[in-house]
Amino acid sequence: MSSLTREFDTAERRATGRLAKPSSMWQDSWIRLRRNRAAMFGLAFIIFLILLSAFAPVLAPYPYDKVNFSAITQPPSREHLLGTDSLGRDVLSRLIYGARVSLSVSVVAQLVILLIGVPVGLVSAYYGGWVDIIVQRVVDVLYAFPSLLFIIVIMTYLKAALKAARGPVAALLATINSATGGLLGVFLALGLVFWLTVSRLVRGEVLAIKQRQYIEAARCIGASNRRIIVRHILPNTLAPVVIAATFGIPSVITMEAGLSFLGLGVEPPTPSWGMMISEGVQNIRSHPHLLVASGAILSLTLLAFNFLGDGLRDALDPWMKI
Amino acid sequence: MGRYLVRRIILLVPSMLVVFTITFFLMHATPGGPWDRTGRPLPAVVIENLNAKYGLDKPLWEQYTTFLWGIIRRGDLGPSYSRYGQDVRTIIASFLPVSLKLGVVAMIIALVFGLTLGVVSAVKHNTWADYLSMFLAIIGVSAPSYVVATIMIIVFAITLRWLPTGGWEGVFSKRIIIPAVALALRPMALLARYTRSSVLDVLRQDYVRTARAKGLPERLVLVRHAVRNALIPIATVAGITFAHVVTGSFFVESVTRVPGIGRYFVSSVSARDYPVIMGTTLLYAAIVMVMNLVVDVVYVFIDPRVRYS
Amino acid sequence: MSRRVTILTITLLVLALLAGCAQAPPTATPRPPTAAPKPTDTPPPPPPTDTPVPEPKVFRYAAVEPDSLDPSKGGSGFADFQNLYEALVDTHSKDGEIKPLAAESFEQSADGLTWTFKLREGLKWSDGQPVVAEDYRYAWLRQLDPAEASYAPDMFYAIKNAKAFNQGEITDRNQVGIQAPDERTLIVTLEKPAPFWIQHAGNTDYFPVRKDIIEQYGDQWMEAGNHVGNGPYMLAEWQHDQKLVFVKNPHYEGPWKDTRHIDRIEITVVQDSQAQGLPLYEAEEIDVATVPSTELDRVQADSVLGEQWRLSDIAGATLLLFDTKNPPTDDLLVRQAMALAIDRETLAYQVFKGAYPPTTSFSPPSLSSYEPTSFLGYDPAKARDLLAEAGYPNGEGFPVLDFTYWSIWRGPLSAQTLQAMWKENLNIDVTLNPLEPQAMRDYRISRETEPYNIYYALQWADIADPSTWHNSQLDPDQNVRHTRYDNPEYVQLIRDALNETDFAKRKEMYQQAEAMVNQEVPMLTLLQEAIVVVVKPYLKNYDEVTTTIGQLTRVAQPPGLDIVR
Repeated sequence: MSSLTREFDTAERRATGRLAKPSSMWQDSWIRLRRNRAAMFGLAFIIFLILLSAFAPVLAPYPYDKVNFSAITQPPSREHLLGTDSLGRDVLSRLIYGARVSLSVSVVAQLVILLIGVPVGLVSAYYGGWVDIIVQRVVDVLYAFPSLLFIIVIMTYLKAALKAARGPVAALLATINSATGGLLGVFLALGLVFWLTVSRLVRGEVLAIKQRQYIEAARCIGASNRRIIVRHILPNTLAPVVIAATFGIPSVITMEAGLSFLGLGVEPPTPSWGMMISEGVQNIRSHPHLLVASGAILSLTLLAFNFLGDGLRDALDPWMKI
Repeated sequence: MGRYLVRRIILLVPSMLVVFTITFFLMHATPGGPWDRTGRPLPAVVIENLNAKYGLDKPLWEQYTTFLWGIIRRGDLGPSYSRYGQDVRTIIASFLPVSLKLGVVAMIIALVFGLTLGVVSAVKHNTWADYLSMFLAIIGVSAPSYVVATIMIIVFAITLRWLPTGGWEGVFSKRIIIPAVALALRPMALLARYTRSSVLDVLRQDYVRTARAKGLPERLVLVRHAVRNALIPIATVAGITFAHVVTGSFFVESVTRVPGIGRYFVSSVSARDYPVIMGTTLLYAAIVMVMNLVVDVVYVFIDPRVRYS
Repeated sequence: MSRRVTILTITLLVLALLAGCAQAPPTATPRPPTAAPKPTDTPPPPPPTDTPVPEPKVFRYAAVEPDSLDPSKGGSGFADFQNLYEALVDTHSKDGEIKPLAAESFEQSADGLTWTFKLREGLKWSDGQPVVAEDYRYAWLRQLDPAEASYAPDMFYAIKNAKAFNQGEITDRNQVGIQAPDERTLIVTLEKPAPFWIQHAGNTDYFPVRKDIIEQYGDQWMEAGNHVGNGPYMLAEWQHDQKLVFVKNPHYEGPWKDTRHIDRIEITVVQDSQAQGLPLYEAEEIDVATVPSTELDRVQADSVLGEQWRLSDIAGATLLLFDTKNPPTDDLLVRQAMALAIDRETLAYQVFKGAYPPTTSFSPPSLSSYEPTSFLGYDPAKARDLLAEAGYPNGEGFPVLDFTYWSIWRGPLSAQTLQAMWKENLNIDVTLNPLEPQAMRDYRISRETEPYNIYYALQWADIADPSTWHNSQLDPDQNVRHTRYDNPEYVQLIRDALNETDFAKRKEMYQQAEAMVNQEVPMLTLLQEAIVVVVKPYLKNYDEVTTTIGQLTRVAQPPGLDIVR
């Protein structure tokens, strides 16, 4: 009931404006999203994390790599609100800087995923025929690859290959890699594995959209394939892609934790939540504060992304209007 | 249907060949070799002898064909480089059944709790029951299995002494509880989420409205129409999840000392045990592909609309 | 009715999944049973009196799955099969003396080139067959056979023609200096006088194996039921990736026969013996466990465990290697400055909680080359002076060095600690370059031709002799550790010392060589290898039966491990 009146409210407000703008799908979705409290909590927490990582140097009480041998694995205290780790570094500061690592891993990996997955899915479904058959075979085969194995092999290969890099391009990549604490490898490895799901998703959407009459109409008036894809099909696949990306971020973050556990994650002293969790598990009985701090923030983050994803799905899915 | 099946099965062969080829060149491109794992740096002559003994001194294409021929002729990849005296076939035959059993138990736990949580949260959409179920599901997704298994061992095995710390004595033993529960959490959470959205989707369908309109009790509407139809997409997810549970149990199997195949997926890569890497990868690919096929076939039975021609 | 439909659907789904996995190739066939026929699996028959049957004494510990129980596949430092075989001599006794074991006597010729071993009478394998000298000869030649590709042939290279045979230069195995003229005599001829060689003869590499068994079962010969050994215990059960069980060898007639108080040894297989032993110990599932450094604080503070832990030394150390031909580490002053800037006390007692003691010389204290007076300990002021003298006052103008190490175990913590210490004490920067272990191996091998700055390594002593530390790591011909250190005086000294038969003189030569390494720092040691264990109070003589070389637990070694409740 209340939702109905609120929707009416917004409509009325628009109507009383000087120019009644037609409400776009995104505006409607935003209104619906705002009504979802869990999703708003998620969004707020994610914005909080973004601010945290953006202002890490200001917010963190200590530098993330400030070693203090006289204060090793201390429990939380006034000087160190969340205690210190195995090298006497401030856990709170490392968590704040770790937000940078974990967020950038997930965002960049998601970008890699979208950059590969969306075009592949689009092209495969739009052109159909043998293009589709070949692409789908490839996707099927890659799907059958153990993703952890694939990631380990890529990571091991990249790490060593970048170390031994010769030539300008490889040298540039190696520089980026070491400047980001070995993150480039993590980005690439995760991106190269997880694009499959997105490409399947996009393909399904495009296959459905392709049958719509407005596409046929566009083709009739002589629109080029390129124009049809960019102007008519792509925008209509955005909603599921956004949802998938939101849900994808948590799995990328947990994957990074798994890689750290195997010694294949970011390179020290760069802090990542995954690395902090694997250190926490090793110290779980002697110094539980290490696991509690990193585990809590990781869980909260995943919770936030999941809530937001749920909210987005409910908001963007037109059927939910009922 | 029959012809469709035959075509799908025939298609498995080139797919497996591609998996084989990618894995072969990927693992050989990865730096490091299979020897020298004992801590003592081996002299160069030992490494040469070992390479000669296992044919690693031959050109890559020759190793490729030897491997391939071994599979075609004997269904085997030869001896493991790290487990002396055991060939890949023995390793898979000894450890896969353990992982399968553990996976089935974990999957049953995941299905029972995942479906329940999902249905409850869909039916009670946007109430506290929904939020609580989804919160539990998200915790399940976000807690890494090795953390869960480690904590369970500390609590139930060391502190409370209710359960042994690990090991394996088959399905009907209390040793299976910790690994199965730790392994079930993630698929349970995934299934709960999918069930929720799938049931929500079905509840909006016209036939559900019709059922309600003709005065069917809500419980019957749910069970007979909603849940049953919602199961169709869940079957897909469950199939793939099961494959992941069987092969992705590395962390849980290591921490709880379950002698399964899961840990070989990781340990063979770290040890550069090429035949075992190849064996486990092909095994995984086969499981996933067969699982996909099974799901497609099961579709026909649970969804009369689906026809293959 | 309606509920039944749901349950039915779920059941169908599960069944479908099961059916699917049953089809998954390759088909899972049951493994052949591994339990062996074992005459002494049960305790000896009870005496015909009213006294209760004594409970069998079971010793339980945790270890990683052995790659093999074949002595040729172990390599040094790998010791799970130690109780299944018996070497000719005991080189690991606590008093440091070499004692006869399977051999009742052994003597060296006056020129130091020939060793003659006389086997004890009545020695038998675990299947009752007599142990003969040829069994040892066969096993040792098998270690050297290039086609066999064993892990440790270089442990035999002091023997005449052994290296040539192993490297394929000669193919006639009779030319190798190992002869068995009769059933109880074994004669070993050495290439040069090598006073250290006898130490090797007590190691796991020199265990005998049975030719007929190996020929009969091929590479399955060390499975339970097939395996035959000559040690105080025998293999009763080996469930791969789960457990191994050793029981008393009923035919054993060796000198340790009466110190076998333990009836049964049960080894639980774990993935990580460092981290996974302690939970088992605390759950009363095993009797001895390793304590990882991360748990040491808690164990020491615990009211029960605090009484049960102890630290035992292992002859080994973590090392840093410098490229002595690549700037800036080619500069002696730079290496010395970097060595003096390392605070080992902090690394040992703060970062690793005292689990590994700091080193005090290049060699471990148990080797006779140990020479602490020349060692460069922690002295940050002097380090800064030396760096300034080298042309980098306060680290200015010093290039960023590359520091390569393993991304697992102690690597990350050690590397980050050193990075911080060098920054603080010398104001110089190093880039950390973690490599996954097998990639690290490639890195090590390629250092033969590639320049580098510093890398991290771990070395265990193979035998209680300085050659294992000096000659095998710093002789320019060894091709394992590439420091490119070639001080001719040092090289001459260690080569002469290797074959010097006068032990006092030999010790002096090695100490002189050690002082040069300590001062010229082509390599430096960081922390000694050690192992912290917790031992249940009912386990007697645990310290007496463990060794510093190779970390062996020889259950029957006098006075013999025992359980007294």
